[in-house]
Amino acid sequence: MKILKIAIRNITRNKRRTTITVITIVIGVFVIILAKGIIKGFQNETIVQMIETRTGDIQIHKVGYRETLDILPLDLSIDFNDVLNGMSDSKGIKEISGRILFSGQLTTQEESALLYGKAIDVAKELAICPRLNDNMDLGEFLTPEDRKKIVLNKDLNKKLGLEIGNSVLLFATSKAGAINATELILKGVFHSDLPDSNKNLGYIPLRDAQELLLMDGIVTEVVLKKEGSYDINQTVAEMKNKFSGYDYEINTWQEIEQSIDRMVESQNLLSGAVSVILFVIVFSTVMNTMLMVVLERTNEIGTLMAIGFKRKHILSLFLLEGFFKGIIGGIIGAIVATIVVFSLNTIGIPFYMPGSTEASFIIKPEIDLKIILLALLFSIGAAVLASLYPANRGSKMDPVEALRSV
Amino acid sequence: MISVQNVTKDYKLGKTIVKALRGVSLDIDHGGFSCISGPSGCGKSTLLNLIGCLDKPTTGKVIIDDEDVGKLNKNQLAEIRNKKIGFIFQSFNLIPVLNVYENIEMVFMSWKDFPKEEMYKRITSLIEEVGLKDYLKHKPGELSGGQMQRVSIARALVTKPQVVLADEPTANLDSKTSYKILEIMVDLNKRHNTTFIFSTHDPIVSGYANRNIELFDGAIKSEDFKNRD
Repeated sequence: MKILKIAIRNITRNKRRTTITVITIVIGVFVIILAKGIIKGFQNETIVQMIETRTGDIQIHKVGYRETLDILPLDLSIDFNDVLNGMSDSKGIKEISGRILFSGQLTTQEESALLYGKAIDVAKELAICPRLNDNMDLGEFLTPEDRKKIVLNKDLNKKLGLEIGNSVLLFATSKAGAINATELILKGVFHSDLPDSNKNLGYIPLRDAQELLLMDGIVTEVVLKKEGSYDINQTVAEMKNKFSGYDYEINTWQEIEQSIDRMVESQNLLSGAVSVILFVIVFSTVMNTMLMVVLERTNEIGTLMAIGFKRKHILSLFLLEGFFKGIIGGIIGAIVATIVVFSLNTIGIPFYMPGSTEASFIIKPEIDLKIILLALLFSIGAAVLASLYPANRGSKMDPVEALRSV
Repeated sequence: MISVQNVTKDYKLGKTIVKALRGVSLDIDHGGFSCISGPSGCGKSTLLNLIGCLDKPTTGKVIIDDEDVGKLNKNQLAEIRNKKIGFIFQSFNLIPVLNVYENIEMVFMSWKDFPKEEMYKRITSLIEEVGLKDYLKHKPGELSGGQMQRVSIARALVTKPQVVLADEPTANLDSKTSYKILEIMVDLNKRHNTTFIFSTHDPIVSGYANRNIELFDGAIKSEDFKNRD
């Protein structure tokens, strides 16, 4: 208790030095929480973008479809009515839509390009992927009334050199192997900021694709949106149980888009590296200060030893001092960071992709209690570890030598 | 009680070996008020450091209560310093962040089962004895040199040690304050029957002692006893 008292009072002894140490710790903790908060906000926004423009929450495919996705097989298809019937009494599902993913050739009078086609039921698709409307560079996205229209990725459109309202010929091989063609009008041009975006992507109405590919009532992919409050894994488990008699594969968005996991992993690695650098900075500042403190108080250490303080008492005195500096800096840093992250969450940070003049999306940094606790642990750990060497040095002093120092 | 037997102490100063003590022997009996005098560098502080278990002799023995302190480890020496020896320093050596009461209380650091009431009684009574009753909550920075030395005396006596060692206790004080401090020490020596050993190179100060051990070049030059009364 007496050591605790001395340690606490010693913190205020050299105010300027303590302030520098505490500020370093505050900055370390602040940057960690803020960086993690921004990264988490970025990841969340990317995931929402992914779900609301590409994957939906859950997808159903025929067994083996995903393994052969590169060739976009039409024969591994699903009767959409079977899914609708199977899901008729299901809870936790808000919307179900069918898609046909197909490959084709888009041809104008001058140019020709490969199409990665996504045929969609526009009304249902927009209920599941509402952000498809948000990424338009030119024209508009498809509407439920549209027929014989196409919306293209900006890179694909650049290759074709089309303008809104221009027609383009789509050639595609039907499920039966016949090559069919249809004329489509360009309605809009979109961009995608997501990783692994297909630059040859184009959307057409499902009815048009079903006619072109001779797949009436048949789709290659079923996409679902779950009710917000339902647990996705539990919903998938119930669906798997329901469709146990069918050769369907049912997956969550996470299982489908593994690139997100890779992105999260690399960003976490980056923020981890930042934390390590900050740890080194905080560690060296605290150690430097504590070495100065030990040097300055050499005579005092000698006095304490003379009146009977043992090595462990001296050691704990300086470690406690480091501990308190760490905890003070940690708490201040966490409070400041929480306020800043909370404000940024309310305001939002516009995120610009390279070369883009318009904000691709708004990042809303998140406060994560786990990160705050980790940052506090970081600050205390760095401060105590950095105090270990100076404290050990102080505790090993020879009392006569220590008393002799001025 | 304390026996110094043919003690030598060598220090290494670069490549040179300095012989600080060259075979000193003396016995200190309980209740004495002894002075170690001599010019600077004669070995006064070294001898006090050895008696105070702050250092170990190069050869010879320092026996305290039949125990050869040269054979004890650091923790055992700290234990002896805490329980059996009190220190008064030339520069007072108070902890600046603690007030008068806390500076004295600090000595009880390792006294785990010592009753708090008894500790409080001892501290306050000693503070009163050294005349600092009204300065209990004052920090060292708010005290004069003489007041700080009085705190230092109370701190040295609070554990009821067998011996109080004072290394030039008046060197940083003016003569008037010095005599006051010495009078307090003499008074406490009489009332508590605590052994005092102090060092000085001031003949007036050494005049307060009832035993004067004069050192020269690391050896006892002369020793005389007198009746202080």
